Amino acid sequence: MSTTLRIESHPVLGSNELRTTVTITADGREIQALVGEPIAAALLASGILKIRTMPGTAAPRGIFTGVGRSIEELGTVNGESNVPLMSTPVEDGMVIEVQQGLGGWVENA
Amino acid sequence: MSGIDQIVVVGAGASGVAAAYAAATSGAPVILLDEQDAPGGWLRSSVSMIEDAPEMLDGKRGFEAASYATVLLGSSSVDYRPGTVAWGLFENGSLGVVGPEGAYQLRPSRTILATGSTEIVWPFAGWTLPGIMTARAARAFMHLHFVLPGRRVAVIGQGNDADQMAVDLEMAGADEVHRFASPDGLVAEGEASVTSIVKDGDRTHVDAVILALGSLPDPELARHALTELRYSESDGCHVPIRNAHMMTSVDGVFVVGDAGGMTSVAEAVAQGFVAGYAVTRSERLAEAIGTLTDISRETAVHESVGTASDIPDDVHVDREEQVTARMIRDAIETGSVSVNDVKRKTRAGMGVSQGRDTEYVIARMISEQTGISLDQLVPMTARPPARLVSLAALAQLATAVD
Repeated sequence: MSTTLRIESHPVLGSNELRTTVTITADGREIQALVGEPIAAALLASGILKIRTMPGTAAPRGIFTGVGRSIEELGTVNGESNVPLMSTPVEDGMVIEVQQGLGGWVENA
Repeated sequence: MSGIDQIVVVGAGASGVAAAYAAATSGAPVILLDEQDAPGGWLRSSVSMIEDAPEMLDGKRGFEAASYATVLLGSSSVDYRPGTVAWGLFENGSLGVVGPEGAYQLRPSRTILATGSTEIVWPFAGWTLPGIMTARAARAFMHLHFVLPGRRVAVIGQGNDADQMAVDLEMAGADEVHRFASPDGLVAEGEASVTSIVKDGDRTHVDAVILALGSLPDPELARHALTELRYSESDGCHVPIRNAHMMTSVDGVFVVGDAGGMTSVAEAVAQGFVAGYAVTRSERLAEAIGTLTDISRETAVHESVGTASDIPDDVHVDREEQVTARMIRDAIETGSVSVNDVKRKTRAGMGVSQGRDTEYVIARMISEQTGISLDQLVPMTARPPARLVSLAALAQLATAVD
């Protein structure tokens, strides 16, 4: 597991207020994430940039503008497709998958 | 229930907070909607000192000003609603809203739009690879979430935005920062994510690429309301026409801050106060108008953002709809001479981001190919929703309206 992209101490901002580390599964492997941080930030911190593929072309995409206005920033979380990864906070035990195209359906119970 | 004199401000950046605060001093009910979870807009993720700051923010860094906005709102009677998206402004003046409590409609008597700006993006070979992101995305990762976009980072752009990005990256601990003045001729390579960038045959290994080309005014909601627009040379796009009170051609619809044309923080705040006092017919209005300075904040070097004719044929200009430069060129060749024409013919600009990014590029492609100057091009028609809205939220709204 690599956490090399975490900024432990920033010269102006200090350090992250979030402290509670949990394990989530991303793209088939377990990674450490902070409760409350955006899923996209947890993925990036572990070097996972590809969050989905595009319909039709299967081209990989990651976070681009970071403002949640585009379908490029939607991924699959706990089996649910089209979750905005820049604005959805991490919870313990989440399973994040690379969304394939439009994603699948989950039947409501 | 909407009160007769209800005032709604959209956007809690410097200008929107100033507008809401000023309007609330009159005792009027003021609702402030903002899609982010804290006020401050782009200042939230800025660690640099504010240039051209108003007196109350003098010597403050961006994020410190954002904290000040929180204090200011807390001391006021403003009904501040974070995490709330205004996705449409309709002809009857009503606003479509989705927030944590669900979907609803507001019917303000006056609306102040402080919707800020959006980033300029420019296509180049491989630009859709993961790891390539805009400056704001990179700043959000670094300054709000304490994660570096990469260790070896390429920064594209040559204006203030790119200079600041290089400083931000070094401060946050990036190992290497490689600068590229323009996207022209660049090729990004990689499989699952970007691994190198090639310029004139020279390959640089990178794990992130940041587009820092500057910003554009984002008056999308004003455009829903069909406010009259004018072409702004310094902004490189159309902006709403406003009077001295910051009101647009549509009665009761005001635009302040960057949404009306890229401006300094001091000027954005001054415009906010003017509109806030204007909507409440405050006696302080004349004094506030006297503080307007007309300082523009040129974030983009439009002449060098990119050359339309240099975009390779097979590159997706519209990232969402995956429309290539070739498809757009063919459409222009066969008679599409406005952004709307190109959109109808190719689907470019029909994605959920509503063409805000692609309009800037397509306008320049049309202009270069046909010789029609940018100020003569009809701007793209803006339609709701301005943000991603789920069908479930709209269904809820339909029930609420009944």
